[in-house]
Amino acid sequence: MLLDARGLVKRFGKLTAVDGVSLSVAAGSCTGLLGPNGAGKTTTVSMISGLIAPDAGEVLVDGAPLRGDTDEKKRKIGLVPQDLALYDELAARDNLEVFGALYGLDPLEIDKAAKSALTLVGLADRARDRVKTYSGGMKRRLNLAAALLHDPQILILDEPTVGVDPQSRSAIFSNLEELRKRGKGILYTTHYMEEAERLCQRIVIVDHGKVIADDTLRGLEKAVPPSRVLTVEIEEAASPAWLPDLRALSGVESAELADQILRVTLADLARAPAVLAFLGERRQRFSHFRTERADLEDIFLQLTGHTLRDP
Amino acid sequence: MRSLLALVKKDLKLFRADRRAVIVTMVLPAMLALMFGFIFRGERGELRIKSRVVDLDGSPASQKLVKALEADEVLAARPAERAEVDDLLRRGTVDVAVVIPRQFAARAVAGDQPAIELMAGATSTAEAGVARGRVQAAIATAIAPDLGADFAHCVTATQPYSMVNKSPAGGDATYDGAAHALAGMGVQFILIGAVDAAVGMLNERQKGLFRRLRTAPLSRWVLIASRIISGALIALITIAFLYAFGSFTLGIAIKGDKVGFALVAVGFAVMASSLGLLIASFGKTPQATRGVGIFVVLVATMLSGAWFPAFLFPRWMQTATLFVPTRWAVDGLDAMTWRGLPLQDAILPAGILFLSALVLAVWATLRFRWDEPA
Repeated sequence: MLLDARGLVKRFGKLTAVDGVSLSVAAGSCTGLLGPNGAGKTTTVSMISGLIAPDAGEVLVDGAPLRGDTDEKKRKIGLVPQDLALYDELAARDNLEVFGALYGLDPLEIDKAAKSALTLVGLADRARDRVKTYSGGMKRRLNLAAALLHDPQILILDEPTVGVDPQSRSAIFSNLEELRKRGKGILYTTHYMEEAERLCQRIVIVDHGKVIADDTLRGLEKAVPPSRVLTVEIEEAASPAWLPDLRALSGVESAELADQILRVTLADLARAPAVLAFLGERRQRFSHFRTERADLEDIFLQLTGHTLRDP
Repeated sequence: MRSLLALVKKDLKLFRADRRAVIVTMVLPAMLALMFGFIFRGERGELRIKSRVVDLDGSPASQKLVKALEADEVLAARPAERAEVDDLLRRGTVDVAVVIPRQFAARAVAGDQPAIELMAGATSTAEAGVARGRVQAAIATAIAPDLGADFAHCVTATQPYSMVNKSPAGGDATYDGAAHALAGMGVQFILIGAVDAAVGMLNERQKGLFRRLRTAPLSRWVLIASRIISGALIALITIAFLYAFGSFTLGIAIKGDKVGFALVAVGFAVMASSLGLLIASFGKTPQATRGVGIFVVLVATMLSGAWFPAFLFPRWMQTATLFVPTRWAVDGLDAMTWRGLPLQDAILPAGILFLSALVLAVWATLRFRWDEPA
């Protein structure tokens, strides 16, 4: 494992912000750290990045424990903080020069790394412009580039897409997928389900400072009862006479039709073919049908009893 | 009208909600006014002039006069040898020295009008004026009864003695008010620059820049040292510019030791930078820190003697100035410019400035919160 956090605990006075969190990140993989605001994600990231010392537990980087401000193993970590941690009055290139020098890169190495990072995030042509002239999305991408200069093996992203427009978000995702393919280990903190679903092979869910789930997306889905809803997009808007008969069909608990979308709740998903056969018998044409899969929102709700966005 | 009132009410609520803004707006000006009040409405007994008295007569009458001057609440003169007062005055250690001449009492009784020398340093003209009155009062009350009624009567008629102003032997430097003002204003505005740097640090903390910097394998001492060095360099460049400008426009020259001047300038630059760091370590928000920082700068500049002669301060405040590094900065810069003093006179002010910088930097490092307070 590139990164292995074991039993991390952090207390602030009487509040235990992180209570025994363990997670790991392998090379070429992305681990999602999910939880609502205040769940302890940023505190966990701070401990893993070496910004604050845990009260208990340890962080292993490439198998060796991370200790103290000056630990050389910090060179293996690149943090993309939640804030836009950039010097607005400096040009993008000058920002990267500062951050590269902190990791001991010489001017030639910085030049090469800056070009590479700016090209990756699509800002090479704006390198000499002051950051304050950038859009929010461009700043987010530069925020990512700044963490890549010293070519870290582990990339930690703390909610990197907050307030980002869809285009920039998509660009950031593409950048991260490219980095993962290059063998980087990524720890991605977010409270957006769709981001974790798209990027992460493994997902750790925290709530009130504790890990409540740690599995692959498929593994997490198994923890939730499968959906029993069949959705059919029917052709021709009408108030079909067959709807009462459908509701009376064996295994159908309810059936609603609105805007040409038929939602049928079944006692068992195995009854879905019978519903489609019923529609065929009644010569009701349909263009598309699907069953609904549980998403992370459902999983989180199932595990905690509340939604991710309502801590 | 309802909208107007609602908006005004909203602003008042916002003001009240920011407790630090209330403090900056109301409490700090009140404290400054209190300090100015001490200075301008202080009882005469609060005045203190650093004085020496030299008794070359040694008669019972002159000894009585010495005791009267020692007991004087403004002068509180300390006996000294004639040979040492010139040096003390030149260095500004002492404001005035009263020299009672040989045969003073006998010659006064004989109607010979002996002259008491009132020696004052170049910056102590105002102090000398006050001291003259105190000496005359002491003679009238302490010596007259001993030397007879005629003498006492003559104090208001024909004085049996005279008083002459003298400069220290060996030539005193000519007071250069412009050079003194340059030192004082330079100190003040460099400190204001340090406050701006403190506010800048808090802005960087708000933006999460310290989180990014601290993910690198660096000790926090490196981060602190970088701030002190950059702040000190900016202060030094400012000092260099000010004195170059002063030299070009006002003819201000470094008449003393050049190395000594550099020592004092570097000491002050490092101290100012460290003070900025300490202000940042106490600050929570950039806005409130600016207000408190400016207050600190105003008080520090006032106590440095850049605004008023120090003898106007209450005694406790005069003592307090010894613990204010800015006073040593202004004294050191004065010593190396218009006073024209040698390197050895830069050692004490520079040493105190470097020591202050060390204390402030360590204090700031231990106090500074790298993350935004919750």
